[in-house]
Amino acid sequence: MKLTTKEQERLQTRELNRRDFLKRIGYASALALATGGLGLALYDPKGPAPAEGQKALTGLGDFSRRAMAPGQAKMAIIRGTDRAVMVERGVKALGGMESFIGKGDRVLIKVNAAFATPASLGATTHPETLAAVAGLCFKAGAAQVLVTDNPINNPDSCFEITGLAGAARAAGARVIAPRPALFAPVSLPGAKLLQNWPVMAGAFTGVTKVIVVSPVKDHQRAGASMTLKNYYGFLGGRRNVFHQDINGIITELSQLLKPTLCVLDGTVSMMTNGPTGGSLSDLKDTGTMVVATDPVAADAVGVELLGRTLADVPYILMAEKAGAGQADYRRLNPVLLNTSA
Amino acid sequence: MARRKAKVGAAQKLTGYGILAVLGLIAVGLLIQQSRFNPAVIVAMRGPELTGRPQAASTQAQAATAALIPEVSGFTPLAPTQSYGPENLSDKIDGKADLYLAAGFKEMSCRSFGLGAVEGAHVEVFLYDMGSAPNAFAVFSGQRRSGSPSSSLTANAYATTNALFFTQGRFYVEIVADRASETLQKSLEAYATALLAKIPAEGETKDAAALFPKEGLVRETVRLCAADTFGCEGLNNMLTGEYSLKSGKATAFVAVRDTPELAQAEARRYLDFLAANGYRKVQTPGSPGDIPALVLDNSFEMVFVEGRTLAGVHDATTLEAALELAAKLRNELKEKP
Amino acid sequence: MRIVTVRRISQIFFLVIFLWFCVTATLGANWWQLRGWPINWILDLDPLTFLATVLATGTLYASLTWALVVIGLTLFVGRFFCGFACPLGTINQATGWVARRGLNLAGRMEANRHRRLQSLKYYFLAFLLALAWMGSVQTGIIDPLPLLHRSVNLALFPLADNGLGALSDEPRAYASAWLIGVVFLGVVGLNLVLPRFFCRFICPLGALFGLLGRFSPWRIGKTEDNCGDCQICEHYCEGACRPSGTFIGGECVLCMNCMNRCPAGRVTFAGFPSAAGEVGLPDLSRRGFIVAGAGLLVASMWEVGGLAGAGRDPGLIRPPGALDEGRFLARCIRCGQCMRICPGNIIQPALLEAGVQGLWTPAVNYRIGRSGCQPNCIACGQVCPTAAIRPLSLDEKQGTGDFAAQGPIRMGTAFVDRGRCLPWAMDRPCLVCQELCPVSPKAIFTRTGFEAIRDGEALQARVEGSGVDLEAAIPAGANLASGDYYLRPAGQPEAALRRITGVSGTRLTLERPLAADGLAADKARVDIVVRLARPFVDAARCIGCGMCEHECPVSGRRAIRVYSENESRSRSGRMLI
Repeated sequence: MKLTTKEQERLQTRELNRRDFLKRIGYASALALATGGLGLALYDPKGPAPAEGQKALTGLGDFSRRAMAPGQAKMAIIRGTDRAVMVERGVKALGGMESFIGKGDRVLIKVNAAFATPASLGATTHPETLAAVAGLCFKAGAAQVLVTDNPINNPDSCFEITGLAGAARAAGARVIAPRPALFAPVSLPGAKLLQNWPVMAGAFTGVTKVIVVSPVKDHQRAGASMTLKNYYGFLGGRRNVFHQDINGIITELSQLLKPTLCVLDGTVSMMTNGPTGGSLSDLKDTGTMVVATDPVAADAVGVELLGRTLADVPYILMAEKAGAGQADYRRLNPVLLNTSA
Repeated sequence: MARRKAKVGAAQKLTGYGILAVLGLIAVGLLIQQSRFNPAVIVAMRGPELTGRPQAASTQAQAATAALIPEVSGFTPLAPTQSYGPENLSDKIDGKADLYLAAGFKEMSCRSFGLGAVEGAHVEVFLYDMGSAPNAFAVFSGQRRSGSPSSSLTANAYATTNALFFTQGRFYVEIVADRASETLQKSLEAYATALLAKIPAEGETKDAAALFPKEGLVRETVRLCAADTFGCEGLNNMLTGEYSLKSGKATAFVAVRDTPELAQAEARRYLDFLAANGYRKVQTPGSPGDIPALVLDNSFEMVFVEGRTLAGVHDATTLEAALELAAKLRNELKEKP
Repeated sequence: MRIVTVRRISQIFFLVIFLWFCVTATLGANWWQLRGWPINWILDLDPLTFLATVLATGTLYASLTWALVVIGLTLFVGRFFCGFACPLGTINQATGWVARRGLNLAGRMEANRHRRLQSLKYYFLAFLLALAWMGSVQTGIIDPLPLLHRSVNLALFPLADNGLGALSDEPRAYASAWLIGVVFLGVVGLNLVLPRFFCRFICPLGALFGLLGRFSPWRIGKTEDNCGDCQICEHYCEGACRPSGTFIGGECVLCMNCMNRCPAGRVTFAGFPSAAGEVGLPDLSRRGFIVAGAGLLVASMWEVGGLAGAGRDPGLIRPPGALDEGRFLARCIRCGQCMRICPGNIIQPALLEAGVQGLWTPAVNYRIGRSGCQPNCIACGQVCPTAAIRPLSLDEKQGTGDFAAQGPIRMGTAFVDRGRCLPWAMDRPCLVCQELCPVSPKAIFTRTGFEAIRDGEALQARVEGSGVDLEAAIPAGANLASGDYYLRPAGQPEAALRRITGVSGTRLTLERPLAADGLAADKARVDIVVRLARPFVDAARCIGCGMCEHECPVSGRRAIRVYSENESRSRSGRMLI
């Protein structure tokens, strides 16, 4: 039987339509399945959580030196006026920087750069001290030295005006200024205040050692600001809410990290009008540098430099109770040195 | 209008019926769903008195006063009985709760009724369990509306134009209508009688005024002050009554303490309080038992102790009135050991 | 039965249940109240809400699973929802029909001609999805289902019910209801320009359906190309999808009028393409989508504005259980269900309080409405279709039971405005806020102080026991016998105060005689002092329910006001530690 051209055409169209229909059925089914699968994968029967579920850190880490040789000094108190010399002698008394920093270590130095005031006003870590510490680190073989703080004033101007940026540059260290991406929430186990609070965890990426370099200052709210109070600079967010319980927050901060080494610079101390000071008459030559592995012991010395007692600065005993260190620093048998002689 | 295709195909019909069937299913589904209450509705229906107060112990006790509020014919309940304990009394009566709490409040139940006899009238009944008869009397006397006539319902009862207030045993009752009328007043009394029939009899309610000499006493001024009588801290549970005597006006006060020593100590405290406020002693030759009187700006005070009873005269306008009342009071107390 | 008849029945059915859901959206157990009526069901069917929230949150909130049913069906038969179910489509179709009664055939054909601008809705869709991708769900502004819910809930029903009182015992008030109503009138009014104007040109949901139905196996088509060209099928075409010529599948709303009208029965709904040719979608230009893609940029710029963060208006109070602002805006579709259900009428559509991207999102206004946020009510979260306001249990809201450790949900904190507060600024006793604080123990407490009143210091007086005669007139404007006023000897701030119990003329009666040394009876000087219980807020207890703000007698700008500080939902708002 011979079909007319028209009939042939019609059959052809019908065949095409049939194929097109099956194709469309296929597409629609595939899409339906895909959407259904997507729905199933994203299905959320409970609804959203009350607060954004972010995995919180439990701390910034323990950087303390594990193995201490028996009889090795944990603390040195150096009298003098030349910061570089005092730091060097102090570190040497503790076994030299080599016993803390190894080859290839990435060292984070936490300074106090809270205010955009010149170093001479004593409100921030002195650049000479920073330079001395950073230099020793490089000498000991550190691959990189980072300097950081989350200051109260504009970070860039803080680092520049205090001279810390210059000192870091000269020593070959890099300043990490705070930016939002560096902050991640931390929830300290058992802590009341540090729950789901942003801290500058990003500055710790790849860091293997931490040295805290702090000035000795009076502090209106906390009584004194030295090593432990310096940790406050790791906090982000609207951290001034914690001023409602300053001793509590500093005690919790003492659990946030364990530093490798603490350098407390009491060459010149801010005796009054802290933490900002502003006048040279607020300062006093106290001619002392503390190098210690124990932040609590270091601060206990600082308290004496300020002419106060532990009762005036409650967080030191509270931090001791929390296990951050030894408030009765004499029990560490500190090495006493005098560089001016 | 354009012509339409005359015949409807079978497929179209079938599809149509299919769609209608789905709509029917949806309707049925919705009707089933509507009977499964939204949690918000369940919470809203529970009513405020039961929410968020998980103290199971007090719920049982609340039933105690609730059960005493009777349903009387002619009174149509408008809402279920609500009960309150010390922790939430202020939810109902707000700032006034302090008055009750200070006087040893235990629990309160209240219910509102519509009154058929008087078009549209509303009546609310409050039944307070104050723990003891003196406590009940304290809140009763503490709020007594001056000038309203006493009622014969109980020993301590009075009526205002729209309400009845009385105590029975440890209970204090308020029956308050939203308007004043005579028919209504009768209905309230009927309700009060029904209520009194349900209140457990705890012996005779002591007439608080019995301790006072009758002559010159203005009866409705007798009240029990639960705390800080006359502004003197610690002078608690003091019965007071005002007198209008020929020689002047004065207030008598009486309180029975556990031991004579306690009564003595409290008398000294009150005298010290008076002295601290600038009262001076006046010579009172011939006063009974040589009790001294104190005066400040024509206001006379006398304090004495008779056995375990602390008593005295407060704010007498004249010395004569003070002496007269003190003597009478003393005699009265001596007669009733 | 003709399919067109079935379509009309279906349209009426969905319109009726839609209206019924709006009627029943009041809290209560009567059959005409909320009970268990699934008042969100029509919103749950919405694939645009589904897609936007999935893009913005990465999750599918359980009740929105219903949209999968609609999506599935659309994939096979096209925009059935527009023709058979959409209540706004039904309203548009009916208005368009009424507006065109008696129009001649040429006029009808002109009205239903396909227009190039019908592509606009696809760009709107792309713009909205771009915003959603960036975390800002704005679909509800023009998505027909939330739009209609909002319009009926906040503008039409309150207006209709104003004199009736059938839906609520007191008239409902909604800020900016006029704008919501005007938008709705605009949408309906556009049907006078062209039938189903909104559906054809604007509706992003319709565009989404068009895209989904791109490969639908079943669709409208002609069996023969040369059918006499009467074009009767075009006269009543609701979608303006050109059934007589090259059929545009994505524009067809399945009104089935063409099939019904064709005198020769040549229009079918079947599994083959139209003999006159077909395209899946109207002409869409890349340029259009690039412009629409600016949505990404717009949302990013909102981020720059930082309205969701620190720069947020502290007066913006979200309903209890609302998510933190960022996640809230990733879910809220502005349907107005929470505003309708709120028994206090305090949840209001925000105009600009929440920023541009927060238009018509729920914001609590304690000055409108009849109370603060009622402690034993959880209605708003329970009716939120997308969990932008989480469905709280009463325990979670009040911080009891399992939630005792978290404490109650805080919407903010009340602040006393000492410049306006009566006892603080005007020496007038007032305790309303403290009395109404529903928190137990109360979050508002008072400290009592005594102040000499104006013109009430060192007044000459004659003292006679409890009576005191003032030589001068009594200072006006205060009821000295109210129990809050006291007398004390002038110049002796430590002297005991005596409460004034009565006033007649210039004679004051005191509860007890004035006690003071060296006070001459006939030439005394006295101060009239007022006892002021001044309110303070215990921020650790305040839940921001606004009972105090609502009742504050300083009726304009209240003397105690709730701000968002310390609200549970945001970490950045944390005020106390």
